[in-house]
Amino acid sequence: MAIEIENVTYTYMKKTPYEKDALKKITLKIEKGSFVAVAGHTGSGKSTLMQHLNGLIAPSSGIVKVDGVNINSKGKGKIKARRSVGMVFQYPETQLFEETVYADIAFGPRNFGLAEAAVDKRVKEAMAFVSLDYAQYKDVSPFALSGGQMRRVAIAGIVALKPEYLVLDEPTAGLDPKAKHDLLKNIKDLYCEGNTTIIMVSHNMDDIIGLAGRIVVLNDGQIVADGAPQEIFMEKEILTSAGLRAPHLTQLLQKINEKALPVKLDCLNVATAADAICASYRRRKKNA
Amino acid sequence: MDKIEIKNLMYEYIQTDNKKKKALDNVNLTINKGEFIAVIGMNGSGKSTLARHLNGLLLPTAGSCIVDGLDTKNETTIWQVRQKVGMVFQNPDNQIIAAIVEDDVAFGPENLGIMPEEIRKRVTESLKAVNMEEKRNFAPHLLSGGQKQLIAIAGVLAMRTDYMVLDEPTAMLDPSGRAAVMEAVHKLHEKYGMTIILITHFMDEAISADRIIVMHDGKVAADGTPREIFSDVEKIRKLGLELPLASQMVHALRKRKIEISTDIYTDDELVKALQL
Repeated sequence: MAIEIENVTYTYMKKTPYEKDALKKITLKIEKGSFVAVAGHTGSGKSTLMQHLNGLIAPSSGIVKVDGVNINSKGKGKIKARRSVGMVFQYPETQLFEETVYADIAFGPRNFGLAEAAVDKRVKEAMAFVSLDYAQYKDVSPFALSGGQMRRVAIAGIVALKPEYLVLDEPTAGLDPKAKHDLLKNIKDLYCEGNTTIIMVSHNMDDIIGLAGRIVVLNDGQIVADGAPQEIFMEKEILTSAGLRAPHLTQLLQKINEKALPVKLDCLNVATAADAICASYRRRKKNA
Repeated sequence: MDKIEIKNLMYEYIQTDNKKKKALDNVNLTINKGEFIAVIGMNGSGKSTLARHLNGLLLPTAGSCIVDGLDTKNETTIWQVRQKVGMVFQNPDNQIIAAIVEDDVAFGPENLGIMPEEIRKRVTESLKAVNMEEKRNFAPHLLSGGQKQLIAIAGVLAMRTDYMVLDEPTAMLDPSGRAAVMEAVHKLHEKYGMTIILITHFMDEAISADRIIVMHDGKVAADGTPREIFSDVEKIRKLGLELPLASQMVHALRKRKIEISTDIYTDDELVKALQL
């Protein structure tokens, strides 16, 4: 079971002077159960690629398959396959529209034809997932909430659909540090529960570090790197040419390693990095 | 005279549930000419509402905002205020109006009734200042987000404003766009002496300011140098903010019984402290 992208090319404004290949023969397989980050600068083709995953746009050439079904074919399985991929767009709070938080989150499940009792259960679960208290918020207008809360309501609306694959496009943009931290934790918890494959688009490696097991780097419509975070973060040249930077933590460790103390660079959080610095510091003291 | 004075400023609005909410609650601040100020705080703390008062886009419910002696509530002088205080918003797509980059930069000065000769000079200078001169004949929609923000900044610069307010200018940008915008902002401050008021969620951007104002629940919760602000770890956490990475590392190292000064806020300071 996987999302398979085979040889996908997408051309914008075909047969005009502005014709541009946004994606160039991309082949990528996202296994069910994985947490994949897709990174790249603005205009690298990330969002275009994501819109292919549930058929919002069809490839100019190539095939997109979800669990073996070509989602742009005419067959019966197409709709089901598309529904198994949930999309959270950039700034999803701009898509809120209902009068209450409850109604907004319930909109999707109702449209999928679920009975009211099932919808109710889904809304409660989804709100719990994004740490919004059900009793406190269900009847509140989503427009009376803070930016971070609105973002969480919008994400809950997609989580309530229980997609097998959840695509999040820049979910933390514009959030304050605490809201960002909370949201990333919600996403991590959702993944750890084991029923959801997560595909997170971000240009910020600081968000990806500690979450994704695999990073795919896009540049100019092509995949320029694909591997474990520890490997990708060391590829300074590839990252720079793709308009990205290693996570701040990796950069800090590189500086320390270069100018002060030998430390290993592949730490993924402050605690392990502090352990590494600490060990090296003691070694130096002992040998002095 | 040369300062922005905010006195007992209140701003109330009616929420969708018909309840009144104080977005700003008795704010008192003085912004002196030449400062580089970062404004931080959680979503909904009143940062953007405060910023929109500085050039009269919003008017106080009570209290006042006085720019170089001019009250923003005085309709006869509001255009003078707007010539003094320029704004750059978060979304680069919402603030570009012309079909060609140089026309966009020229829009502000044209509206001030400046002579064409002078406008041309200012446009060239402003685009040069943000390293975008080679794009002057481009269509803005073909530029990246970071480049669009640089054009917006050039537009403010061409108006020769004294104060530039930037409301999360880098929130939507990728790392290289972010670096280019921050570089331009620092250059305007250092080279042109422009007063900068930068709203941001990135602590590493805030640490490069001379002064940090922390907003919380519509009030000024803290106001001081980056060192003063980030030395109170408990307070920072309570305000929903985080320490710069170097400080986080220092605290983690001290927990591991490494003797290292708590007075470390930047990567370079940490590297230096770890050297022999």
